[in-house]
Amino acid sequence: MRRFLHALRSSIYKTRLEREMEEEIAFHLEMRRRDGHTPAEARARFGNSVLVTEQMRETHTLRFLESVEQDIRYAFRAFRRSPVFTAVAVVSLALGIGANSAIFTVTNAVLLKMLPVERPDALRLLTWTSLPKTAMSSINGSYERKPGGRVGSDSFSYPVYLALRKNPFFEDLFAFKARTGVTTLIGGHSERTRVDLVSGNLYGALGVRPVMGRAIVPQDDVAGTSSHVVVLGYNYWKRRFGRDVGALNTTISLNNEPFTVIGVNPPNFDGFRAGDDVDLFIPLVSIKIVDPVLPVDDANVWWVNVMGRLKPGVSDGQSLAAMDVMLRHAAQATLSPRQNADLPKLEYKPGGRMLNRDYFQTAIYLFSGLVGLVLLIACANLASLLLARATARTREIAVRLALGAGRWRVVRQILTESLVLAMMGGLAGTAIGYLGKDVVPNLMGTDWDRPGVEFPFDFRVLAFTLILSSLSAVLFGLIPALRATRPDVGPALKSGGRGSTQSRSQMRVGKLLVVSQIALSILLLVAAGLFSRTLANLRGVSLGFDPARILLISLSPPDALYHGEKREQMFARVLERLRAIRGVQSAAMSSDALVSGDADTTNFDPTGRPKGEHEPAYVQAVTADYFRTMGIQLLAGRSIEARDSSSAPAVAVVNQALAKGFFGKENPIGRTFDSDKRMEIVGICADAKFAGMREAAPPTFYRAASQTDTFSDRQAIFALKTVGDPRLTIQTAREAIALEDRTLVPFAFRSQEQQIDQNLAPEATFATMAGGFSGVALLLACIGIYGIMAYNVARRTGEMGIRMALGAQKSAVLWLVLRETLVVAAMGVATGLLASLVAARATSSLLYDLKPYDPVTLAGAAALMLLFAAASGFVPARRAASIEPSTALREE
Amino acid sequence: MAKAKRDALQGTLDLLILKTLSSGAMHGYGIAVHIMQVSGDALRVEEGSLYPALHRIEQAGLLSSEWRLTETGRRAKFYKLAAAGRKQLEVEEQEWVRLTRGVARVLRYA
Repeated sequence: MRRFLHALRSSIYKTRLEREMEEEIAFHLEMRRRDGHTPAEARARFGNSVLVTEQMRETHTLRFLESVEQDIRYAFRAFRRSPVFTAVAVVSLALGIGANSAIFTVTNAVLLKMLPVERPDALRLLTWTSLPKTAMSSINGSYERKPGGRVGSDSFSYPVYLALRKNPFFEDLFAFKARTGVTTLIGGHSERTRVDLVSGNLYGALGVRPVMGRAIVPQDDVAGTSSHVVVLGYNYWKRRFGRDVGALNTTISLNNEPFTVIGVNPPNFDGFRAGDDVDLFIPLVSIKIVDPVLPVDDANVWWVNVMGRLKPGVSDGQSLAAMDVMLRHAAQATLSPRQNADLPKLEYKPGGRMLNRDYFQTAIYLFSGLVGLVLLIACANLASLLLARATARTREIAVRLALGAGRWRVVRQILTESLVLAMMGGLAGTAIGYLGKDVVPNLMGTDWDRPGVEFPFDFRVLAFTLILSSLSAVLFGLIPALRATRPDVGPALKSGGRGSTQSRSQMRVGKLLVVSQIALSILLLVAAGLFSRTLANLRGVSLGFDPARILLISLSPPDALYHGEKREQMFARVLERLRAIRGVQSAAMSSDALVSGDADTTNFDPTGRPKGEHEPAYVQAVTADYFRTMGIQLLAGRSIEARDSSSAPAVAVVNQALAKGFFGKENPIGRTFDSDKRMEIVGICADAKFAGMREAAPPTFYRAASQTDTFSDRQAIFALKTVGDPRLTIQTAREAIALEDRTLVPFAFRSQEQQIDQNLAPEATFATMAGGFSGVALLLACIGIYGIMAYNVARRTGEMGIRMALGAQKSAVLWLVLRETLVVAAMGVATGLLASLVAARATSSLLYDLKPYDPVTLAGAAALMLLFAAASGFVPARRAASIEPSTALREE
Repeated sequence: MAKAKRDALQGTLDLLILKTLSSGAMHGYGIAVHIMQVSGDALRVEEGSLYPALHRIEQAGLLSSEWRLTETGRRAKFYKLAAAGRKQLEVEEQEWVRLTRGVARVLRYA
């Protein structure tokens, strides 16, 4: 130990060693002088003291490096001798480390990444919460229910934003808004782009400097401007312009309006959300071009995100209280009064962080936990493997210790072996991590047209992987190393490492490791079981419609090109073209796709009852054939038909949930109700899922597409029921739409089944990942059990031989070993089940129709584990049973 | 413990150091003086070359060292033979005897 530190010191802290060397030489010269020599004489006898110091120094550094190299060479030689052990160790480590590194990539990009701007930690995103009966009745943006019954959002109205800007706490407040699906036309090619709208002061306030051209300035963001400007995202510039400098000052078209390119963003600033990669940045004033439908001038509509940088020295607490008062005043002054409505309460969120971290957060925490468990299991596995190996080498180590090798030297040798193993595992793990880094974001992604989310695999991920590898090396290497080199080497030398007290206690540690391994595996198995059963429950719910062989297409052309009647007529013609495609049985148009997360609600007031008595109902505007196309069963009355034109009486079909909720036992057919106009109920249909799979079918009414102005300014969803695989129709459908207008950009071609998969993506991701990880864990645990039992049998060969010689049956010996396996496994299973009872509670919000202590899952996990344990214990047990008594005793 | 090839002189110096220390701990100056006195000034090495040798042998685990006070109250680094050093000394001593005997025989009968 002392020697090691000494050597380390010589490599790192040269000075101390050097001082000692100088002192040593000085002492020598001084002694020579005391013995009556002159200083010159003393120096002459001594020789060149600089050279001597140099030589001394060399012996230290070289010696250390030499021995390290020697240790590493020794380790590799040992690995070559036992390739199976090495392969198992490296593969299990690679899986554990790779999984961690892949998940950390997501953590890094979503949770840790800061906006690449000056002082990002001083940025605050403004958000608010209120009671559920909120004064902010119309929100365009995030809206969530908080635990504790409050609701919250990060959207503000433009007048409120302006009012809040007049505060003394922030350097400046700036505003932004993200929009997707903006049709951009460059050189005759249309595509849908992601656009961030930013207030004129945003670039200045954040301190983002374009790599080329200029940033958006306040003068660009004034109402009534005739010349629109755009800053390109770096990746967009790369993709669409091939990094051409000539892109500057060219004109591109957004929703049919000309925009002049004034600059290109730096590569690291690509929006406020992880994985977003915004294509274009334009002034906030252009919102009316990008989203003509959003009533941004209406003070009741809260839609814009607000952020700012606190002035130095301003605390969160004091500014928040004052800002909150300002917000209430501004809200009260601008909102239309509603009775008993709760006003917003201001909250800060860190503005330098990615805004969509909440969406990934649960998954990240969950997966970090799962992959952590996998790595722990891998480490426990390696620890017991190394322990067994160290025991096998007890004699060798004891000899080395007896010959005077320092204990630390031997420990270092064993640790070097672990470290080399860990680094090989880490290297392979880095590769696995790199390949798997985008799995989670892509499984959970939400954009049909841009599946290629790519998170950077940067130095932080590499550093994380390196640290993790080294940590695990110490974790699994230290215990075996210390135990193998315990000072009482005597017994080991005498017994050759068999049947001694040391190996028995070694056995105890080994078993403890296996027990913990099994317990951890149980945790993962339970997680996998819970998530698979949740997914199965969700897949098993009755949809109320038939998703088979349906192709969905979204179409949302720029309002400037198609508005009002022109838009409605174009949609109608496109529908006819799609219907005419060979292999399409029926086609229909609706305002929302089913199970897409989108749904509209509106007021529903049965005639003759006071208004506002009921909660709002869900509404879907559909064309004739919709019910046939989607396979929604009509229970009474008639469906929406072609005769329900704009001039015909307005009609609606309601679902059972609405009939029951609004009319109870009365027959709703023939009744009328008021929404935007008075409609008559002509039919009742079965309940069908609407926005998502988790919620029960909501009270919904279906109305005729031609009897509403919904399609005059919004998207249309086309649904085609096909004869064969719906995705084979995609190309024909694309061509059919191009025949109508070449500049139309239909998007999100997907089958209804894909749409459902997409909706279940988080659950499927949880189930897949947990399943995969628990498979790995099970495998590792089996290796662990096999290893410890095989070692145990080898250790007790003599005992078994005696038993057999004394007349024990083969089956009895077999059972003896198997029973020991099962006892270890049972201990692990029991511990694991207890732990999972506690741990699973954290997952309860992620489950569907399932309790965290689901007995089926717990029993299944336990049974599976015991089965695999028995199987892996069986091989060594059979070996024990086939021991020849004579051979065994001779060996002893 | 890799044994690098050593030239004869270095090997001899190592042997002298080990032998000198077999009677007890000493500092570098003491070792130099002892070797000179006992050999009757026949072996006069450059005193400086003693120190790299001491450090090298220590690194090889044959010696241990510590800073102590001399009788005159001066701080000095004392070297002591380690267990492995004692074994090594035995081996080298035998080796040396074998070698010199061989050389002597050649001188006598050639």
